[in-house]
Amino acid sequence: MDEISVSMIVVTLWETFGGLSVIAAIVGVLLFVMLVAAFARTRARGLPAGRLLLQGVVIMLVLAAVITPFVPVWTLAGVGDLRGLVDYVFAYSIALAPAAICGVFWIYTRSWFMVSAGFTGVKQSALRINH
Amino acid sequence: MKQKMDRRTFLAGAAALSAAGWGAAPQAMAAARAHVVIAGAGAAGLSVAARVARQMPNAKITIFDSRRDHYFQPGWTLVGAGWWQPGQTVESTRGYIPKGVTWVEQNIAEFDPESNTVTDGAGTKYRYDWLFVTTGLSLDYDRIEGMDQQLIGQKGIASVYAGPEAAGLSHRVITEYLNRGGVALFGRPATEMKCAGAPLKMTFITDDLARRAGVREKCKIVYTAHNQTLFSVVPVDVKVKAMFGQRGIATLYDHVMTAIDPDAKRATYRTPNGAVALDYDMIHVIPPMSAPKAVRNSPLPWQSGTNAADGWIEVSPETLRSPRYPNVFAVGDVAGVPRGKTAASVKFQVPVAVDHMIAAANGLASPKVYNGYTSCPLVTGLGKAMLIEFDYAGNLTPSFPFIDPLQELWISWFIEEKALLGTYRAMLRGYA
Repeated sequence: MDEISVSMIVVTLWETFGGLSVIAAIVGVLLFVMLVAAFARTRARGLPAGRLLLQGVVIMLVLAAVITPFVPVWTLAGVGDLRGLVDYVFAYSIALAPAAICGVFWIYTRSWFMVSAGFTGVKQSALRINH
Repeated sequence: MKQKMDRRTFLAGAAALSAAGWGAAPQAMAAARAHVVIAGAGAAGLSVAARVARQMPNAKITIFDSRRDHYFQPGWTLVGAGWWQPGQTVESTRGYIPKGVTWVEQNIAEFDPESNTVTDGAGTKYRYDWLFVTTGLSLDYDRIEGMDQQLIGQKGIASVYAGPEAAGLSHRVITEYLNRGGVALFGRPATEMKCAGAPLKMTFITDDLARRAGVREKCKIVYTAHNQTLFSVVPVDVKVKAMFGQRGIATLYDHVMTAIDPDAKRATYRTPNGAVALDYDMIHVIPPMSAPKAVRNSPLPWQSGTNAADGWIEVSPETLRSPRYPNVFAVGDVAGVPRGKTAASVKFQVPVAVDHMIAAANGLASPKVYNGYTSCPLVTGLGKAMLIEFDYAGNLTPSFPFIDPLQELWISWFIEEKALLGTYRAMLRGYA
């Protein structure tokens, strides 16, 4: 294992997942672009980007927890077929991938909704004061 | 074809990444225009070919093997279980022959290290500067009286070792056994063998399948150990013995199968108390194993000691280099080293052997040492395995400190079921 390298990791991923690894990489870039676009949009209107990010992260973490017991099915095992703490941590880390997609979609669509609904930073502040 | 083109393009990109410095410490290189002969295009041979092609770009490389299919043998226990299809373990050898390497579709029939020549099955002689012997081993079913490889799949005889079809037929035999119940015999030969964990895996898998089918109470599962141990590494031996006890798997020690009567469904074992016959309804036969005939008949094997009888090649356990023929290396199953007959061993042996060859070609010595690392993801049922890794000394050497090698875990199963094949393929391409 003294020869771990980027090329080795890339080849191993390719040989394991084939074209799926390329699709995953493209999806990753797309999600990043969506995230940047969402925050650029909210910041331009003075909307609370931090709160939006927090919502996305919470959605991702909760969804990952929901998905975790179903991860073993991907490996022919049964639902919830996890045995040790390391199994739960690893399954959860795998579940984070689809959960992150949902989180980013939430952030993106929410930012679009906030902007199109005419929210502004001033209005939001006013709303908070009224509450 | 399109997929092959895509794959080549992709791998060329990975190679470019390496060249651009996105890699590990630079590998040793040699500019020599030597002729490197590789006898065998299995896991070890293809991996050696890929590395030599990269590290010795001016070399003429010739690889010999008559088999056009390449087998992912670690998958055969999963096929035997019915969890994988046989086709999932079969690929084309052609797809893994590196660019610039000549593939001769013949096996080596004769090794003559005194004159630095090999002769292929067609009688053509080839002179070499460096020789890698990567022939794999011979499954000697005929050393069990009454046994024939053609019997696999019939009369209650299973054996996942003989190939993907045999593994598929073994699944059929196990399924028939579960429907009928009775006595199932498992065991291993007394010779050195590839993947010594596989006999245990098949025992655990059959137990697991019986439980899932709800027929465990009508199945008597018996494991016949060739000596007093179930596994050569002490903590694993203790653990497996305890697990067999918990699962109601009976164990008979010092039982070595010598004969089988397929019609009577009776196997005969050599024991310290003489021959013992056991009746069975299903038996998983693992044959004695030895070096291929061409190797055994050559001057390359050990001349004395435990590795001599079955013709394993004499090499330094640390460098895989022949002490009597310094331009000869043996890697993989055919190498006469302790504990080194798994794909995981090959992964760690190849970089060492190739580095020593490259260094020697440059008139230098390589500091690289193979410590006997090998690995066995010991599947104990659907969705669970123990990731056991160890070295020559029998020390457990876990690659991932957070994975307990003696605990049945899903993550270890994940590695077996999802991660191993990709890592194996990367190894064939000279990575990993």
